[in-house]
Amino acid sequence: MRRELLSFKQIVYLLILFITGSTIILPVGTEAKQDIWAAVILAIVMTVPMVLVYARILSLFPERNLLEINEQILGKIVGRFINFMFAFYAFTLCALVLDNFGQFINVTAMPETPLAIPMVILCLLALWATKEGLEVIARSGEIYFPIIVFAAAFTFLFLTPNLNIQRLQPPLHQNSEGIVSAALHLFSFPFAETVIFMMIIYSSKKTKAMTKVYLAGLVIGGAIILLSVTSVMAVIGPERYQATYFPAYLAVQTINVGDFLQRVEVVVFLIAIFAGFTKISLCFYAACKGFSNALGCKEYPFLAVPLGLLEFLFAANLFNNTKQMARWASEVYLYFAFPFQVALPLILWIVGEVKQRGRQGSPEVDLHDESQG
Amino acid sequence: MLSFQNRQELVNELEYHYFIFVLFSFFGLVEARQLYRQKQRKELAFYLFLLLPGLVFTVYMATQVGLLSIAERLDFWLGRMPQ
Amino acid sequence: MTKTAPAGLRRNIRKSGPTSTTEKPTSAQGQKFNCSLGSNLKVIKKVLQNDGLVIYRKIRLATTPLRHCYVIYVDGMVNGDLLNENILRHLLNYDVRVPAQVPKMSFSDVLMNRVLSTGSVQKDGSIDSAIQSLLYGNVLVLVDGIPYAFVIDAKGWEIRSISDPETERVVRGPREGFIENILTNLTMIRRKMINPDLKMVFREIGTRTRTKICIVYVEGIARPEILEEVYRRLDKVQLDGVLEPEYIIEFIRDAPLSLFETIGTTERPDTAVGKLLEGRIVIMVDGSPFAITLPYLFLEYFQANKDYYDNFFYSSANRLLRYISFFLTTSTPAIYVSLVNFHQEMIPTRLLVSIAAAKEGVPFPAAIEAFIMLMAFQLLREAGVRLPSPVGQAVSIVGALILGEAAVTAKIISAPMVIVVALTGISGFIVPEMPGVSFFLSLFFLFACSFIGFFGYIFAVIAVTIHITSLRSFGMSYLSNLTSIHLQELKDTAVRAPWWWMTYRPRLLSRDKRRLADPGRTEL
Repeated sequence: MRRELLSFKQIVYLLILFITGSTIILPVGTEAKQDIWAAVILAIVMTVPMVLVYARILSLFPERNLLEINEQILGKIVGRFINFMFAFYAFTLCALVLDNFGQFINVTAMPETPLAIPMVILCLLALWATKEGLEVIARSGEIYFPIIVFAAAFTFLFLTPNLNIQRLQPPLHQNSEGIVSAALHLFSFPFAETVIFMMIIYSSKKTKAMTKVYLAGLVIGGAIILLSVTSVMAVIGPERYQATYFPAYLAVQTINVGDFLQRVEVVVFLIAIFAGFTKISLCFYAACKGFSNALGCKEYPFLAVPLGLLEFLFAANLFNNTKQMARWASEVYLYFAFPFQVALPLILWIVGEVKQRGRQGSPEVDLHDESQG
Repeated sequence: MLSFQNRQELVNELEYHYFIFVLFSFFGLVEARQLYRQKQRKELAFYLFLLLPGLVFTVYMATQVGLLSIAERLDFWLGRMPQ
Repeated sequence: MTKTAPAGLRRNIRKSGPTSTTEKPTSAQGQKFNCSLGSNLKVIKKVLQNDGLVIYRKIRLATTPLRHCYVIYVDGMVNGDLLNENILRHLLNYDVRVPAQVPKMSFSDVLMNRVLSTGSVQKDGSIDSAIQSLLYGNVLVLVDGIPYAFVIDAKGWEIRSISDPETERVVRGPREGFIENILTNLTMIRRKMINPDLKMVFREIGTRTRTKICIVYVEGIARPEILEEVYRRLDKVQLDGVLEPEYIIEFIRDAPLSLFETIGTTERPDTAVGKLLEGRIVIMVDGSPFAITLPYLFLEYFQANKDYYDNFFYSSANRLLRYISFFLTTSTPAIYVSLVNFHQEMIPTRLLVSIAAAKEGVPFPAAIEAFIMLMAFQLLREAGVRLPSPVGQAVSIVGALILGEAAVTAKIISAPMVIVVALTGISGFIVPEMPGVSFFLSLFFLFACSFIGFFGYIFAVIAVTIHITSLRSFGMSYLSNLTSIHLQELKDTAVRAPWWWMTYRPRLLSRDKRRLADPGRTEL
């Protein structure tokens, strides 16, 4: 099987696009109200140890991704079953993001076009990208990243006149429960979703690199989220933030530069679709790889078409309206994602450490020898 | 003249299920044939096993109106009613 | 095959290859010259039957015993002066005493060393290859009693003089362009790089035309694996005729069905040498003034050679202009249609009112209007290209001004659409290398936008991105320089940095990365 190599930079870009993907359009951390910035920071802090665990697992078994590690340390049957579960998680996540973007386009821009049309187009594009391989997704990410940064910077610049710090007052005012709850939600969506990356990337020769990559992606992505949600909150205030399904869209609508540049929200969120598409295609790629591994096949691209159809059907039938989507995201997702984001990686980590200790000598030295040989 | 609203209605009327069915059937035929030729029997079996139910469900979806969503079904099974 | 081919036709001669052994009873396949002049001549004459251009000149040499010799050449393909002065004259004045003066020389050595005073004389024992050389413009001298032919290089035919390249004119820079003769073209390259590392490898391609091609590269800069790949792919070309580089390009390019070119062509020797210096490989094809350059990356659409001859500020501005034009020519109709149809709120109110007023009474929806106008523009462009330039100008004036004006007055097309399409067309000319790509992309984007507005546009952009990132040119990723944010790479991508600052060649493309011996500009 052809190994698809990504550079350090490409993985960091993908991580950033993945984290910002659908987060910037959705209302995240509503419980924290005006203290949303604290919730984001807390969530990032909570995610750091988890990310270190992910990186550690990958570093323990260089040249292998999560799927292969599972097979190696848990045995063929259990490992494949776990892989199937992970693939299902990626599949579901992909459907959720597809649904988010479908709903978003439907609600904000074209209420009369069926919801399914943007979804099926996005799904077909993700299918195509997956068939072309990870390198294509990574390179596309490299193209999208500067565009997104550019657009985000301009949006922020134009938003500054509308920022109202009063809306963030009073800070940290008897709302610790809300902050913690918001942080937990933010932890499961989007930060710990980066567990998906374990199915895609693998550690190369330098064992430290994984940690660096994961942390860089998390911190930069987290900073972008922090900036975006805080400024959105400062523009529209906690009440409207809670009341709307797509708060960032509402905030960008307020941009008005000299009565000429206005109503640019469509353009801004067009660019958000780049990030969303990256997230969708990465999840879909992971799902294809996971299922092909679980089914005991060597190649994954042949699964793209049937899984793409199922993905679309799944996403199209997931929720009937935006309200269901929001409720599910706030009440169910946390518990659904917990095993994949926390429990299984922790178990794998412990099992992996034990198994590697059991081997003779220090694993690090072994690996260096292998990589040089 | 086709106005803006008319065009939207046109898109609404466009039977996208039909489009999806035809598209994926086409892909399916091409790829299944390829897999068959390369003698990848296991892959072919999985391929058809995943694709055919999808196609059947697409047809089913096209004929149904107001299908219960998966989230609603889950709520129903778990005995939790939406607020 | 037992069918007898028309006897003696030139194209029935084949040198080698597995397919040619069974056919053509008239060919001299595998035959050798023997000592009898008469039988040699008979074979040649039989092969070259009905070829009126071949001239046989019989000369009686003043030797003892008496020998005859034949000078054979193709009329019009040899240099008359050279033939008369250095071959015929010396053979006619052949002196019996010559062998006596140099006793140890055989007769054929004497001919080669004392008589035939031209630059290149070779012995050829195979009739087939001798005929091949004859048809390529060499002179054959057959002598009684000598079992081979003397092949004398006296090529000389009419060629077009070197002129300003039509397709890549520059205001400043060299004025010479390639011509149809491969040797002249190679000398133009050689004159620009006086360095033994410049290698030129000849090949023949085309089973019937036997076209000469030459693979040019700079050893030490070009990557050997790319070179190997080029040879491997050229070996697989089994076409019978090659008249233009495109014949070869379509065989050896990656992604043969893609709209985007993965192999470039140029008509300018200076551009070719510039590409050679970046580690690219140039293939010259005889009979065409266009050289193939490869690998070809997406970025090269935007790098014009004049960028390197002008002031770098001006060049960088021009290059940015080209990127913007690419965006404009592909996207203007699509964006206009989605603005007017789907996102009217984004247009300032006054402008919206005037657009609405202009569209009043126009029977077509904006997307159809845009499509009609784009096609009309392509029609005009194509008509203008084919016609002689005064007529071409007349066509464009009639087309653009009169028809456009009339269409707007007659309310068939709205006035803003004329502006949009004019903008599309004009900006298309700024990136002249990619007329096909930008036209098809603009149609694709227009199609996507006419259904779901800006979202269709963004989906189309994603689709194009997926396609373009999956492309490769001879192992190089098509976007390899564009997607990197290395400062070093950006120096010749987004802008054109001053020469003293471009210390390195394009990464991945070349072996010897360093372009500048001493980084920076030494203080004067």
